[in-house]
Amino acid sequence: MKKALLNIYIWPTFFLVTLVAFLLIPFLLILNGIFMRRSLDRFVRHGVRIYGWILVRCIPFMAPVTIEDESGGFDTPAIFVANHNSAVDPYLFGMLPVENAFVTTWPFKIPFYQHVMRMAGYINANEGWDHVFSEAEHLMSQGCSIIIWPEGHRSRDGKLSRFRNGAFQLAYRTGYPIIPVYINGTFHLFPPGKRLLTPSRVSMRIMPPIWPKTSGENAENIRALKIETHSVFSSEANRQDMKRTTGIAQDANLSNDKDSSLKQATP
Amino acid sequence: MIADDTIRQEINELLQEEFELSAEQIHPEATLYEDLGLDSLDAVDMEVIMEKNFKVKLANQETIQEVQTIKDLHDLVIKLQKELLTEEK
Repeated sequence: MKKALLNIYIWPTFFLVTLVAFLLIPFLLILNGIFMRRSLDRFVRHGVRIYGWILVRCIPFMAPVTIEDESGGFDTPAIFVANHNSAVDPYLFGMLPVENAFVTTWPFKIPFYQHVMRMAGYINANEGWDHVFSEAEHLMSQGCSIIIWPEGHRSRDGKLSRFRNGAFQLAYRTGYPIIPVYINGTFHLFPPGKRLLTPSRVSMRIMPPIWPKTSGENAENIRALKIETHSVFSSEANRQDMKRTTGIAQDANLSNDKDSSLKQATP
Repeated sequence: MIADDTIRQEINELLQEEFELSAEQIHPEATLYEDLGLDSLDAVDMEVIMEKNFKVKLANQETIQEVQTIKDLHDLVIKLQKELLTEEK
């Protein structure tokens, strides 16, 4: 029942918010051109973040999305790396109070979205890593942070897979930190291949930055940064599993207690 | 001196572990990029694990660009290791 209600609410809301956002684009661009005069890509990136924020706030998937921020602030541009379980994940980044741009692949094939993504200066990883690095370095020099899914694709089983080197090589090249973001609950909510959402508690944990080492062998440093970041994600995944298992056990104990108290109360 | 087959076997095991590949995926004709899904940046890991395990430097080797299949990688590491042993003698 909850699932049916969630889907009846979510899909029309999603399409309505998206439609309004698309219809507003020309007016907002004109307003920007006349009054605000921000560069087009920066203005569109800001708009996309607001769009993501509205969607996440309008659509509580069961309970409001929670954010635990241990990053210590966003004083410099950073490379946000996140585990990727669901098509919902990118929208969650609308909740971060920093200008950001995605490095991604398949969303560049989505009708309408692809135009907005190009206007926003998002980076298509299919164009090769040389292209990604030069675009990302340019954006970061303007103060924009970069978001990369280090697994390269959505997980098919909800488990963390190996990380690719792109994000870590970028950190090494630019000297900016990696900020790990652990997304929890979106695989249960909307895994790849499903058409309906299942109610789920969604949370984001933004962990402390990991700075690249600049001395020593390049390849060793990039690899060490990747291994350190992967172990941070593995620990967090284990912590979340433990939390889930403990929660289930507590729920089971509660229900056992209820059963036994009912039995005791029954003459 | 390590036998060539032992080196091949070790390389296969390292690739499996490092890139989360199954034993069935690893065969001499398998291409690194198309069949195994590796990308150009995976060369960084390849470079480090080969250096750690076989003491050979793949960096700055023009031939690394020509490594397309598992067999090419086997041949390159075996060749470099033989060169290394000759130099040490």
